[in-house]
Amino acid sequence: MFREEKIDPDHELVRRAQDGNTRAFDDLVVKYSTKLYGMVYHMTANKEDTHDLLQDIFAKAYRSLKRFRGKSTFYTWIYSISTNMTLNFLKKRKRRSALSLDNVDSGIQNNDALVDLGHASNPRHQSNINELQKKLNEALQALSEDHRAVVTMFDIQGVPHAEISRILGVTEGTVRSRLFYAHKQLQGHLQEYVR
Amino acid sequence: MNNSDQIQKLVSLKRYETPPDGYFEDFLEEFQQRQRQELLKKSSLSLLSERVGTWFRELGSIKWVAGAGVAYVTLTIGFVVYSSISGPEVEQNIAPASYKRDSAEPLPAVDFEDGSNFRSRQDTKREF
Repeated sequence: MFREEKIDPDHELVRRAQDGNTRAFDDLVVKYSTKLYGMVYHMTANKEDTHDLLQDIFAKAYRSLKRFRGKSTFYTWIYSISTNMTLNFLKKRKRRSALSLDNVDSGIQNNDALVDLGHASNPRHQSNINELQKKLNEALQALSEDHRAVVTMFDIQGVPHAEISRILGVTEGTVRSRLFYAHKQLQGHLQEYVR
Repeated sequence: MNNSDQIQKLVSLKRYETPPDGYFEDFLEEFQQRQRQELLKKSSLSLLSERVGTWFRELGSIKWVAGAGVAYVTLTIGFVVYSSISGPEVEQNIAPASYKRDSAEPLPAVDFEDGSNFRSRQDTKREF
């Protein structure tokens, strides 16, 4: 059986950054900040926390870059750092109110897919977009951190099972199982939107 | 479409929640500033310790042998220095084992101010 050798598209940038080229690392920050922002934001549900945490994540990645040996892709490596730091942060933050809805992005209301679903799935109540968004946030925050991480990566960000298993350091079976139970739990919270 | 697919579709709507335009440009600028500040704050000592740490990590399996060697040398030097500072120990205030106070020896006489002593004073004797 042949092991799939994955060529890291960031190899050159990483090598230059390891040699001390800060511009190369800046390019990596630009490339991955959007994806990592999404992951951290959907896990924390708080914009300020996301901003601070993301700064810390890139700072840690920069400090640890010399130790990156290329056994995984840079994307998997930095995603693992991001996930671990976010999970640690959430454990510390448990005493605080988990959900903050003052961060609802108004731009989402212009999204056609969301508008269609918000009305079509529940014509009786004609739920407005904000309510759907609130429900989605509540449902996600009700999940355990491990389940939320899998849902965030797979359902929201479209990361494949195999990649998630590498990032979290668990088997693909565990990823699928967590996803299954997370969906079951989400169904309970979002019943009115499911036909 | 089953329930799980519907849930997935619903949850996937969250991907449209993005920060405002220009956020990531500002983010990068802040990151660069923080990196510069951190670099300035780093003392030469921490830089040295970081380099030693990195060098030690890169040694591979030989680092354990090197570590043991360094620990051995440190202990030896410590022992030699300690021995030279403290010198040979001298036992003081220890009476010879043969010495024993004679319990039969009379107590020394105490002279009072009037010239009498403990034995000559009659008032020290009381009869009941």
